[in-house]
Amino acid sequence: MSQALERLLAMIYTDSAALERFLADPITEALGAGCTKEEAARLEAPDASGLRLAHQSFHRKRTLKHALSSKVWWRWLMGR
Amino acid sequence: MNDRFGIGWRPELSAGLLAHGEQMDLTELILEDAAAASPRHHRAYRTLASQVPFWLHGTSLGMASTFPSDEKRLARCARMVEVIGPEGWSEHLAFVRVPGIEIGHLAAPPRTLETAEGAAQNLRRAARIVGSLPLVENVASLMRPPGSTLPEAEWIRLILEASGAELLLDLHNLYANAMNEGEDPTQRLLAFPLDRVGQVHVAGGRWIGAPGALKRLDDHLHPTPPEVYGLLETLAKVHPGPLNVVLERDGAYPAIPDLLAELELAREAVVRGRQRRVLEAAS
Repeated sequence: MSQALERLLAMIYTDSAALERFLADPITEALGAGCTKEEAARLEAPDASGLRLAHQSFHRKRTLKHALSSKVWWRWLMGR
Repeated sequence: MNDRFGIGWRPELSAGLLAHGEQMDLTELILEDAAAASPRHHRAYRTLASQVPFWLHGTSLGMASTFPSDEKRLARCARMVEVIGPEGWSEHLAFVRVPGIEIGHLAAPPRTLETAEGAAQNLRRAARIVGSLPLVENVASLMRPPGSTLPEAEWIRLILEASGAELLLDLHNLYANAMNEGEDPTQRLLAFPLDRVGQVHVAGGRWIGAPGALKRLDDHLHPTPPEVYGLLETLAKVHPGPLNVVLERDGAYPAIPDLLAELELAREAVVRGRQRRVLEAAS
């Protein structure tokens, strides 16, 4: 069921509400996401500050990529 | 073969790097930048690759995952390898997406037997489609990846053994992970499968977070810190063969002489490491 664990991590890295739900009750969130009992148990005491910083870092990267791709598209549109 | 040293090829640095080409033994271009470039750029990169040892460095294939890597992205990678003709290519041991969710950057997956096996399967598929195995790079993480069961060094060793790939050892990523997981960086380095190192990255980063709970972020926007040169020296002391060392910088670009000075510090670190090996062998 490692795919469920990866999907849960992707959610908490990209969705701030999902991150806060996870930090408030990691085991219930993990089981609800389809993780096994063993996987959920390993998530019992998450590194909250690390996860929040990672979430912010990924958000900044996505925003930067979006800005860069918009710039490329605008240049293409203007024929430059 | 001798140790080789180079700087990552970025459009913002290209004129300066070309002007100081004699001080670089190799270079490396971001694969996704190559794929987005025009045929004119591809011809330029091919010309460059015929004159300087040239590597393509992927950031978006998501190899370290229990989900299969995307076929279209692998096909695009194969096309770039065919068009540009690099000495080789590399990719990160990261996951960057799951179906329906793009994380937007390199995320460290849980270090488990399942993700190690998934990575090995993805690497074997990549080798079939691209025609060669990539070097695989250890990635930085602000915390121990949630759900992990294995130490990073053991997880990487399993992937290398199962796939046959060699390691692109990023020393700043290793340093950051050691700091963020409360470990000694040198001990962490020595636990890695150093006999499988095919290339080395050095780069810089910064401390973020609240006082008392600082985390090391690998941002490639700052000079390589002394601790990373220290790790490079240790690696040079224990590594059996020549090293290929690439300095990465992805923004806040300094003047080229400053980057060349960093590269010189890397050279000096390798020389010191080799000297220590000779001295210890003689004593």
